[in-house]
Amino acid sequence: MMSTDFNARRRKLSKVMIISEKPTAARRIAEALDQNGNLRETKSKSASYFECERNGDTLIVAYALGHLFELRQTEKGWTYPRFETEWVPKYEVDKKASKIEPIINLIRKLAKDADSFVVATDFDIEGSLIGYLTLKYGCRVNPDNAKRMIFSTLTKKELEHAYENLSQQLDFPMIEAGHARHEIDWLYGINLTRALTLSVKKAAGWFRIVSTGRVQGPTLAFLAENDQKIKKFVPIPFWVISAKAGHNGKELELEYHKKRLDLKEDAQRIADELQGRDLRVESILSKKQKQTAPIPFNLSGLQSESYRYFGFKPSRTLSIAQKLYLDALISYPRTNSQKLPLGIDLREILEELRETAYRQYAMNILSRGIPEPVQGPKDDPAHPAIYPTGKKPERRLTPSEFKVYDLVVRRFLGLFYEPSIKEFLRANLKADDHLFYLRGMKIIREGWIVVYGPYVKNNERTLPSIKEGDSFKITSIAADNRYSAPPAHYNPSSLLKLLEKKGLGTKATRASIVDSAQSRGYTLASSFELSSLGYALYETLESHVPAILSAEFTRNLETEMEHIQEGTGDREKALSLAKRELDEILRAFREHEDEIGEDLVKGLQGYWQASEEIGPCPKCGVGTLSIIKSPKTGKRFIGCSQYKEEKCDQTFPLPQKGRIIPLEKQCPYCSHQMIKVISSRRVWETCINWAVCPGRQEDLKTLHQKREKSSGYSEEEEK
Amino acid sequence: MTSCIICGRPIQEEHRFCRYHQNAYEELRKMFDRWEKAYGSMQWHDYLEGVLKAEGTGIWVAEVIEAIKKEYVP
Ligand SMILES: [Zn+2]
Repeated sequence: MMSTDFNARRRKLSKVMIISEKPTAARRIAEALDQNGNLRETKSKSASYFECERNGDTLIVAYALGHLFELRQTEKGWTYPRFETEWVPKYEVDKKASKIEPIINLIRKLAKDADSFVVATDFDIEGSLIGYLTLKYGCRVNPDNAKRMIFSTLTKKELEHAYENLSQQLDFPMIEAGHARHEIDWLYGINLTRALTLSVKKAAGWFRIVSTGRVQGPTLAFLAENDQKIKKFVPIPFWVISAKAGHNGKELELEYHKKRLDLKEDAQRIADELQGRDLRVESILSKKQKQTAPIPFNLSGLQSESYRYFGFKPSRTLSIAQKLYLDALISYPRTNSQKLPLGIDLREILEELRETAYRQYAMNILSRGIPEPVQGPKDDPAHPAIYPTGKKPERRLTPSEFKVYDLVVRRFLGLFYEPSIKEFLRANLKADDHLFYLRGMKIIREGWIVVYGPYVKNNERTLPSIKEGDSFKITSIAADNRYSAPPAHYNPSSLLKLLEKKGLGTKATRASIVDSAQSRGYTLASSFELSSLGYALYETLESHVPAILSAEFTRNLETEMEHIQEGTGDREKALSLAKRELDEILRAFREHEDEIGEDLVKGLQGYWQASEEIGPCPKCGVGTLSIIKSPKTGKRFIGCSQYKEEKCDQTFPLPQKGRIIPLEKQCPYCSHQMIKVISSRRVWETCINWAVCPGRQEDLKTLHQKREKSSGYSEEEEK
Repeated sequence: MTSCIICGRPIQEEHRFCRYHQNAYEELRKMFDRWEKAYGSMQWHDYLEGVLKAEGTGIWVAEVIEAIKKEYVP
């Protein structure tokens, strides 16, 4: 009896497979949906999945690891043009993606037993595409029948709500938009990078990846144009009147009513005329100014504020925000929205925050009946502005995480506060026609500054107690020479804002595009000043294939992709437009391949000389070899740039004395790159692989023997 | 001469420098009026010294000035 009953119930049970984007998200989802307090994690090789029960169903929560599938060209050959692609498991095109194989295998196995499928990846174009591809190529099921969980925070309440109110269909316009963007960026990145790299190979025989892409090209052009303005800048002189006056035994700094004087003669005359004169307070003016709280954060708002106060690069802020999101502490950060829509339970968030260090602010807002929050102009159909969930951190946040978290919470709380009121005071001091100002500023009502204060510059200044008719004696006055300032170099935050303004890339891709300009050596490491390599690439492209640098050119494609996301565009149409335009560029490229190669080679040579780079790494093919001095021993050797990221451990020993010059040729024995060594003793050529190169062992032996005979030339020198 | 005496890039037709240094040179010539007016009067030579010393002068401008100065000094 028992067993029939069990079997009857068992037959009704349904297995629902939920696909999330990352392991942490999978665990949160499973924890939130588990009704029986019986959450299991089952490991299989290096992958795992979560299992729990809800509404009598078994839920299998599996995870991707970002993209599990990647595009690969269908035709063979590291060449261009390559326009036709297919989706394949990522590990087939990326050797570093070995973790992905067991995950795909597990997903495939789990899918066989599942009765229905739910996509629970991030609700944006990238996340939607990941969900779709995982269903189609991982689970091998028809994505048309899958359902979608839509949420903006990983809190239990929202996840349960999302599961109980599943969208009956996947978000196909978003998937299509993600698909188009992925394909188009692949086409541009792969083909243009190969074209550049192969032109260098043809001209000099080196294989050194020179990369660019659809958005990287215009970004390089923005950097180059700004860099040129700075480098050809001629400052213009002007003068300012610096004056001080005594009042009640104190010396006060005065501001002359003309901020700058263009003629030296005028400035000098004013200074001469006013030497030692008395000034009379003619009037004291006051002006009150109301300022509403700063609007809710979208991603770029958070990135720019975080750069301003903490100096965090946009990519760093994004990755910290992502972690806070996975910890269910803040809402989804990749949003354009500056609004908090009605659906958000503000009371609940504030009640939760009442139990934290933000208690006093949350209580204050609750006691005022939760006034309407300040809203910003921008909207995003997929997600609201970034806000805290109110949850207490379950682990100790790192100092950087805490900074970003605090910024988000305070910004949110500030939205419910009154505008601040500042009083600006200005005393007008006069002698004949000459007018000076004394300024003061007083905060009359703090309003939102009470909570957001740590992130507001406090420029409060008290005006000394003076009244009309008071007299001041000028104690010192001079005409100071100044110069107009050149435009500033971009910083990570201002470059990101520029890309956003120009409508290039997406909120998800811009931060890494900004990083790549530096990491590829096109700008100097410390600033966005263009490097010699950056100039070489810019000049070459400008004279032979300017379309690669043109923001206008790629904006058509951006518009086309936006239309797809809005459901009015067509992916195939966008793709064929992209291919047509790319084809034209590549044709132009082929025609000028030789000149392009020669120009780039010259640029690379200059760059390598300046940066101690040797050339491309033969082991990983991605990094660049350069001369490194060991911080421990002080000895120099050749190492790969990917070493820092623990991606490549290739090293070569170097002679410790003499100047090293990379040569444009390869070793005839082992085909490693050749170098020239110039020491006071001799000049010789060898390959970087000399220590083990089969063609050089005889030489080494002779060298050893010579050394043993002669004293004072230790073996150490060549290690 | 086919390459810029400052940086070795090819020179522009009928010009003395490469496009960047030529640009900087033209900017330098254009701004002389502004300096002359600001100071009341000014000699070209003093102008060059002034720009060279001023804060914010672009590197190409400074390189052009150094090159011009070399030409004048016997
Ligand atoms: Zn030049």
